[in-house]
Amino acid sequence: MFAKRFFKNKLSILGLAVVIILILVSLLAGVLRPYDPLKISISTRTQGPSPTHYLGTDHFGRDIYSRILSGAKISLTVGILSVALGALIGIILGAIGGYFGGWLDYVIVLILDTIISFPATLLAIGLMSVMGLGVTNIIVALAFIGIPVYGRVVRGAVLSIREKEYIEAARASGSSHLKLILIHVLPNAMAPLIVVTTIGVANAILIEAALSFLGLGVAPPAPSWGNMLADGRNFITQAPWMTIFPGIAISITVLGFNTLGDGLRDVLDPKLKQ
Amino acid sequence: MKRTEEHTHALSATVGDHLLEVRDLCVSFHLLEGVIPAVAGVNLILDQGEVLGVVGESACGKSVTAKSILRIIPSPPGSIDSGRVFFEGRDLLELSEERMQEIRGEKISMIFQEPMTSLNPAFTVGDQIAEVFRFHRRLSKSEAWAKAVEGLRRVEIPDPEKRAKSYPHELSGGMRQRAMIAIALACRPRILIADEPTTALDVTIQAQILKLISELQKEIGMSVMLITHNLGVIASMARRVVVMYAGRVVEEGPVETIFNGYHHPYTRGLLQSVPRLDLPQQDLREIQGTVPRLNDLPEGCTFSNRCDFVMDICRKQEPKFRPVAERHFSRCWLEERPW
Repeated sequence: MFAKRFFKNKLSILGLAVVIILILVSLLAGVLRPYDPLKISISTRTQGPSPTHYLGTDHFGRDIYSRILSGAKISLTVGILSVALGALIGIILGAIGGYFGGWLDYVIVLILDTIISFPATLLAIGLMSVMGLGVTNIIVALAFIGIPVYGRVVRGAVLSIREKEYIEAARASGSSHLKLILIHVLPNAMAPLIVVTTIGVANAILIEAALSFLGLGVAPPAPSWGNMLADGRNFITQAPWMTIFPGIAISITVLGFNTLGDGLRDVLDPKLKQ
Repeated sequence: MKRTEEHTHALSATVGDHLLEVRDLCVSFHLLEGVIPAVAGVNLILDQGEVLGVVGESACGKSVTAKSILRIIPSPPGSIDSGRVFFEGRDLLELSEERMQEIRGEKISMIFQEPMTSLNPAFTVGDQIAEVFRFHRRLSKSEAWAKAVEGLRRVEIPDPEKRAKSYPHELSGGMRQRAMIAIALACRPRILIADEPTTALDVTIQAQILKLISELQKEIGMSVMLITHNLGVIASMARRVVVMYAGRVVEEGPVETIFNGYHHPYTRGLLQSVPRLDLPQQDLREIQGTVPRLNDLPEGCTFSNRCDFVMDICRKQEPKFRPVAERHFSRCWLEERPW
């Protein structure tokens, strides 16, 4: 029933297709790319798109097509892992706060609200300048920013679910608090969470690009869509393909995850059903 | 919070005589508008194999009393301030949460008013019944499933093998209440607390569910605490009746006594507000007003502001819960019944 409703919506199929293709591309980047993304070649620098270099080359003569394929891996790894980590911590905090309430909830909400009160990109920049460059650090920083997003969504859902009679009924038949949270509360709170996580992946990819663009993300020469944009910025008039193609890659990815998220929301939220 | 006066209950001599004994239970809710004493000094007893009816208007403390016995009052804002709940020689209010989890569902079970929302929508009915067996009886997955199917058959759900694989939304209200009963009775509890089990069902289904509870009660030999505002249900099911008002027990006695020889004006009001087939036809009368806010009760007798027979003393002093006949108790100043 769920799948049937999901596949009725053409946009959500498109979103799902884009995401699946991206995941395949990033897994198979090593096979698909025609050139070594790090190989510098003075003779081929700043060439426009051609049959030999589909999307042209950058100012070091590196093949942009190969670099975008390799960048996909970094972008998706960062996007998915940071969301997974952030969502895990967010779910734990949100579920505990929402379920138990009281001072514990107060403290958790205070922490979440403190984190979320900083603009996400600004907080990411701050964290990255403290922790230094590197993919792991980006994941940690983005996960940290994501915690309140997932935490608040889960807390809100748990708050409403814990008042449901089936929770009381499960308690009356002897379930412990841990079991109630894991078996009865969380599965029913999944719908909004799935939606925010897909959109969260898109968001994380965008922030990663922004950080790399600012030189605070993936350290060159490793290709990331963000630092490719940054490289291309200086040559935007002479070699616009250096900027345009990574930009398109980012747009497609973000659009893919967003449409997937929207599609899931339409399926999972009965109130929006027409 | 003020505790209502101690009163000796003629039926409760020593602990252990009864299957369940609630003594001077006080439960309050700490809300923004103040502390609400939802249950103020309730005494109840339940004997082996007995069906006890608990009646009263909405918000008179029936459900809170029941949930306090199982200690599933949401806390905060609720808190059990004082009292004792003796069950099998132990005070349930003093047990650890872990011990309590072993009692819930195993020894004392509860079914709820809303069968539409009392089952977890994310799991099949069979899974939810099987869970009880897995937790309380530590059965394997397949054993628990077999027991779940058997449980569904016991509550007369047709085609239980297939129904066990259904999700709650695929079942009708009556079916869901049957599934709830199957969960509650999975471990053959000593006590079933049925909190308005038929209120949300239509009349024919009500009768089926009551009949089912009644049959299973005899089969298992359990005691039932039947909470309802439906006096017809009480008349057909209960042996003894407790009438509650504003968090207090106001009258208690055998079901015939309560229906035919009631003493408390509130009980009279309740009975006059429903049609009776066993008496000559009379006009139905409502009880004036509504249950007062529990944090703003009238002084003296809590029913004094709605009572047709109010006297001066009623407004000054709260009456004691006292015997008015054999096995018949009432919390009212009236000596002679004016009706």
